Amino acid sequence: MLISVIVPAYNYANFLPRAIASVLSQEGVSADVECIVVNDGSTDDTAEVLQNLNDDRIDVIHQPNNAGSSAARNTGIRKAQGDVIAFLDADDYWRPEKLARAIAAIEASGAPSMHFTMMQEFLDPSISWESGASPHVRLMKGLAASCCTLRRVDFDQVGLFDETLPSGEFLDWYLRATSLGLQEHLDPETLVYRGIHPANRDRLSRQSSGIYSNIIMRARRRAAQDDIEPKGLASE
Amino acid sequence: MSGPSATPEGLAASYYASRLPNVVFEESENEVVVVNLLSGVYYFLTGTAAFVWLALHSGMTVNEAALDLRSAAPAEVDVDQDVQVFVAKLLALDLVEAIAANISHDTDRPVLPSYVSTGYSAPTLESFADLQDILLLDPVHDVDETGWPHAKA
Repeated sequence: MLISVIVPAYNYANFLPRAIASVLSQEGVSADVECIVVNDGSTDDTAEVLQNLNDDRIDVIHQPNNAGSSAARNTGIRKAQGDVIAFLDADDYWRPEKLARAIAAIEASGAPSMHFTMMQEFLDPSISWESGASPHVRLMKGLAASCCTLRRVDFDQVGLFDETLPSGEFLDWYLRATSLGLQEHLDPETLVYRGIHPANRDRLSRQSSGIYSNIIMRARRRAAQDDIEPKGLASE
Repeated sequence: MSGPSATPEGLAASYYASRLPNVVFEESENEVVVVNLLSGVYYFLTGTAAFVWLALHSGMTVNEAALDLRSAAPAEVDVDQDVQVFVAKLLALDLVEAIAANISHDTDRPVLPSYVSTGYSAPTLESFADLQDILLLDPVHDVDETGWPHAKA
């Protein structure tokens, strides 16, 4: 079973080798992996870093202009040949057993499903924080792209990421997936590590936080249109 | 900017708006979704609740919003009380804060939806926590009033 791992990369030259190494060293399935790295118009040394990676399992796509993580992931998806799709952001990395555990869970699950893992944030050792100013790190349920693995056929049922969204694209994709009935499985093991560094704030500025209410309202409207039960718990 | 009013009279005469940037909202088809990015809880407001929310964000006081609603309610209903209880709940949930009267507003003064005028019910809100895990993932939530922690230059 071929597994396509999509790695969007924008100006993370210093983090990218760690992410790719974690993909290529997956235990038990490493021979069945294609690692599609989409250089999303990086202006740092990303192209040089990728040129120096010599492994047949790596497929590099250079996009001349920065189009955002949705567009980069979509580019990778279009190129992917695998029966299974996984994502990894260039500043994150996986534990070696991540894919094998996800594949086992997928094979055990007959229904359309998406598989997540617990995720641990960490302060990147290459960053020196001002005294007393480093952010908190958290262990959390990894409902993030880097933690998601699923069958290609299930991904195609949901469709590509919305390239018009400045942020929150995974929330939008997740809500579309759940509305279509994809079951959510969580591996209780911590298999993904998420780097926390100053560049995160550029991607996730508070100015764009309003997009989250927009995405939830869009999901509500779709649910009303399709006459399905809207996502949500009982009123508290 | 004045602080939250402790008395019902003070609350009624005050102006309120969402606690940006931690609380964001979206209106569509007479319905409002309010998302608290610090807690990961979101709320749906419909009918009179959506009207009051939008009225506050158009620059109306609590009292003015209640006055508009009175036309839709049976005479025996204490609309002022209903609206004050609702706004007090919004305050308790940290969804709104008192603001100055002269602040500019992006939202137009709302029109009372026809279904409100034909069937009044006290404003209330539904809360949902099912997206808490995904809404709290975003590292932007680590930023407090002192700003994002700085890396050494």
